[in-house]
Amino acid sequence: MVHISDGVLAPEIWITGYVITAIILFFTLKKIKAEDIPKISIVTSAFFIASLIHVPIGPTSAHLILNGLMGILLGVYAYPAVFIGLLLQALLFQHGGITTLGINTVDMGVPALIAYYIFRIRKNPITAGIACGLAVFLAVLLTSIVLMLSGVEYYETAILLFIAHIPIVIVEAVVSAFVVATLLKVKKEVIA
Amino acid sequence: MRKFIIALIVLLMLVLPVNAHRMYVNYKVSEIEVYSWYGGGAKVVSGDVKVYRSDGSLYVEGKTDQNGTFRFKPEIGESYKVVVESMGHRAECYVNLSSAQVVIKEEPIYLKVISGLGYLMGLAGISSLYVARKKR
Repeated sequence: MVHISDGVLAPEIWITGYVITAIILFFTLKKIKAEDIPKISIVTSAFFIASLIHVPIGPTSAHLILNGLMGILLGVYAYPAVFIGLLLQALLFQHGGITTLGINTVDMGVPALIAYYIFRIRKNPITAGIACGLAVFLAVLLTSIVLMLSGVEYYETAILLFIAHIPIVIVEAVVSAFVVATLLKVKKEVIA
Repeated sequence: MRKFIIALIVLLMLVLPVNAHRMYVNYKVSEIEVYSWYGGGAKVVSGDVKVYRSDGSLYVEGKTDQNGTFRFKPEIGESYKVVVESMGHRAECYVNLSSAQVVIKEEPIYLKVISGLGYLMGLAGISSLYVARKKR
């Protein structure tokens, strides 16, 4: 549900989304180094595929987002990575849309950046887990706010959406905590 | 606690319509109603209806009802000639369903994943080249 489709939002909202995304992309891509690109690509491909992993919740399902883990692994480059991943998801899986690409990147990329800054305070698996859980929660929150700003009849479903994403929050927090724990032991320099 | 869990499950069941993945809508023509009338507006009651396939063979036949209508189930993709005869009067019309056949073709998901990874590798290559050039 964090992927908003074409035609749902009012033009001024998705245009604003593109403007915000363009500004953040400009600042995050300014200092990119050639040796970072392979890592960004690999994490982006994981993000790209993660949306196909559906976690069944009752009769419906939600999918992994992995935005928090991206923030921890890539730092500020998580934002362009989310952008590229969402672009490919929109083109190939029809998750989300082209007009909503900007706003969807804001919804998932900004929590990724927040997760990165939380993780920087103390680099251990527990903060990683908390940061990643929070990133999913914030992504759902931002999506809900955007939909409500667009006047989508949404108030009741927003609450249900949060409930539906509780398992995702938990799953991602646990998975990310283990990933970070392993990486801290095995290959510390991978973590941003 | 138990009540809470039941309430949660009920809530989750309500979440069904907000599933966020790709959605489809398609249509199917399951019944065709033909109606027949005489010049001036009088309905053709119990007229003989014959429906022919595009190759000329008889598909279904029957009689119009009180309202001059006759219903039949078509096969999608076929076109029909409907002939109504009643007391020496005859009229015909064509029902074309060949354009009503909408098939949404979807590539298997693994092909999409592979193509996505291909795009990513290409992007990584292009951006590496760009960054390396800029450095020099």
